[in-house]
Amino acid sequence: MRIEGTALLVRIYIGEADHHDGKPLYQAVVAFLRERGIAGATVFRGIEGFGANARLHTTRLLRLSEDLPILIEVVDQEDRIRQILPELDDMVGDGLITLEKIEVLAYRGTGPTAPS
Amino acid sequence: MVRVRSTGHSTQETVADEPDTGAARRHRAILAAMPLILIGLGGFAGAITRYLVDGAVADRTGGGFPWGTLVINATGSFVLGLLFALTAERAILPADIRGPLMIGFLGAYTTFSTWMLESWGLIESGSYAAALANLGGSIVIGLVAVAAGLIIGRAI
Repeated sequence: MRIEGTALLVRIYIGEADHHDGKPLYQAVVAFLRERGIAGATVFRGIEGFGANARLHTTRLLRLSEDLPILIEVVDQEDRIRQILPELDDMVGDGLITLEKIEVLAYRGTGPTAPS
Repeated sequence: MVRVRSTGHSTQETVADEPDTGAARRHRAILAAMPLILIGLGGFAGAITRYLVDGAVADRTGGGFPWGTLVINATGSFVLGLLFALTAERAILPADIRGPLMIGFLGAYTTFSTWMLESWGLIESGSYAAALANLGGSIVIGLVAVAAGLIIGRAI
């Protein structure tokens, strides 16, 4: 798989406690992206943060560590990203989704290719 | 017919003869488990209360210092001192509340392990002054709270 032309970076900010069809939302999002043949995605867990309801989540206090921040970064060329955005928007309930135009310097992988 | 039956207690009690049916055995088993069930119900309520109080305090004070845990341990210590004075020393309240309230509810409500976890977290992140304040402050405030509960309980 190659990334050609304009590429987009999608950032999805959700929480650990968010779920979709009985499994963690970040897992559901990654599975969905892989199914759709998207170039790649990475999930990060934050140690502290807050969102739309201004409630603090942090690893420092046990009581506030239940719903730590999750960030999913997705990169692919613009047409492929635009195609999946409506469904992605539906999956992510509370949260934040941002888009950035980016320049891809290298996108390489060896071994078997992902299902297409 | 009346017979004397040894019970689980050190004393013996006289009971009316009852047929040793399955129903009677179940009834006795439930009676024997009752103190444990009451402690469990108290713990159930105490855990939920801690969750709600900790959340309310933490939301107001932010994540800089574990105020929620401190508030919980201080209020729990005060109530335990008060109840101890009113049950064990004064017999104003029935001794039966010891299991469900003092062991179950307050046992689940207050937390030593969270206090230690959050203190260690402060040490690990280099906030030594906050760690010291959390450890020393909780001890002093906890002792003052339990003493205040006892004193008020004795004065009522």
